Amino acid sequence: MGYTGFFVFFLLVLFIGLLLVVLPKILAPKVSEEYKLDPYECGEIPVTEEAWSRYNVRFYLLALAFVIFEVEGVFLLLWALNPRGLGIAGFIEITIFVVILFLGWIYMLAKGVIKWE
Amino acid sequence: MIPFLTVFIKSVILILVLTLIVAYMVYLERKFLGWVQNRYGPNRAGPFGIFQSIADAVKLILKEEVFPEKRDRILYFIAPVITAVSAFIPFSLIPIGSKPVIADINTSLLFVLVIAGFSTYGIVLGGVSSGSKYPLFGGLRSAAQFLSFEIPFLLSITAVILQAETFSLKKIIESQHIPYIFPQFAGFLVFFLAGLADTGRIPFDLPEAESELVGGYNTEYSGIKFAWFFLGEYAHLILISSLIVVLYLGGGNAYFIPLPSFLVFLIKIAFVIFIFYWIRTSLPRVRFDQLMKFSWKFLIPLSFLNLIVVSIFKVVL
Repeated sequence: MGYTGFFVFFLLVLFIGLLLVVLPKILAPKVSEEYKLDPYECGEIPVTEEAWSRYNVRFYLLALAFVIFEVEGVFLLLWALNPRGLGIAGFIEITIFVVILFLGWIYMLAKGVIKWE
Repeated sequence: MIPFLTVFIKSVILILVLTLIVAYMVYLERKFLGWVQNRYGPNRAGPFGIFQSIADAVKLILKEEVFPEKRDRILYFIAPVITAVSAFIPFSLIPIGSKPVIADINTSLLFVLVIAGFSTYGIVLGGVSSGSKYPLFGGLRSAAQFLSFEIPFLLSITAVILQAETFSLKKIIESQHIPYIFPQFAGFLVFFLAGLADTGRIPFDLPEAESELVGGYNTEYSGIKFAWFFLGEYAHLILISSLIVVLYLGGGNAYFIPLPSFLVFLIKIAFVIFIFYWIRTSLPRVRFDQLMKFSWKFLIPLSFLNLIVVSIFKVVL
């Protein structure tokens, strides 16, 4: 049993997960009170109107670097599957590839992408 | 029809066993914490409190759910389901003993990585959709942690694939005549630390830091939805420790000791989880800038170095 078994397990887990989330609608009591549904702020009446206001996304450059390194990881995975078959030539090519990315990593640190004030 | 039925029954048994293991992991962790901190731990429900986790589960199902007013309805509903489901599914592919119980496929390692990655989406969505500021910060922290630790995680796995030349977890276990922890100790270290950050446990439990963010991403969750986050987190812990066992400690290989392979596998997992608990009791929480610097300036170069050394041994020599 290969992929069939996997999908059976997948659907079963998903079904149980969704079923149990709906279950308290039948079993649990429901009492409504004033302030009960307010956002939690340690018992105070919330200071801020909305949580979804604008906030400073500091590390978007880091997120870009993350995407680049992940794609590199995919290339490395494909090479790692058959390193001896691709031989010395493949090894040199992948080394050049990694070195270029490594220079990018040094540039990223020099620019202060992960620096905090 | 018959093979379908066998798979179905096996799946049900696996889910039940996993849930039971998670329940007793929680109980044992609390007992262990109590023992370390010189107190009793849970001791009311049943003898020595052994029914504590079951009592907790029943309470969480029967409890009233409080839905915060400012939530995003759909995302708030599905976020805990994503976390729990994505932590459970990979166990169909993990070889418990010598081969996987349910799905024996060639690319199982890639499948496990992809699905395990989804649990972070559940946490981030849960934090953002609650419409309250502590969960929002928890979700953002979880996203940043994911960005920092996913790359060393992937690179250390690449070194293992390089040595075993396969994506199949079963064949990776078969190829370990000596456990990969010995030839790739640096890779093991990187994978262990990245795994610790991936499960969000104590030195790296920033997304739910109780003393700073109340409860982080699960502040606004209650009842069964909270239980789903909790279950997902602990199932993810078992998943990471079983990956450590499969990739670095030789899986179900007993080497010299004559024991059935699934028993060896369970003993090794229990040992790794015990180390996770031990770390939890011993270390304080790190600061966020320390965590990101540690990952980008230390773990990533170390995992690259490990990869290069392994590939030189594999290809050139």
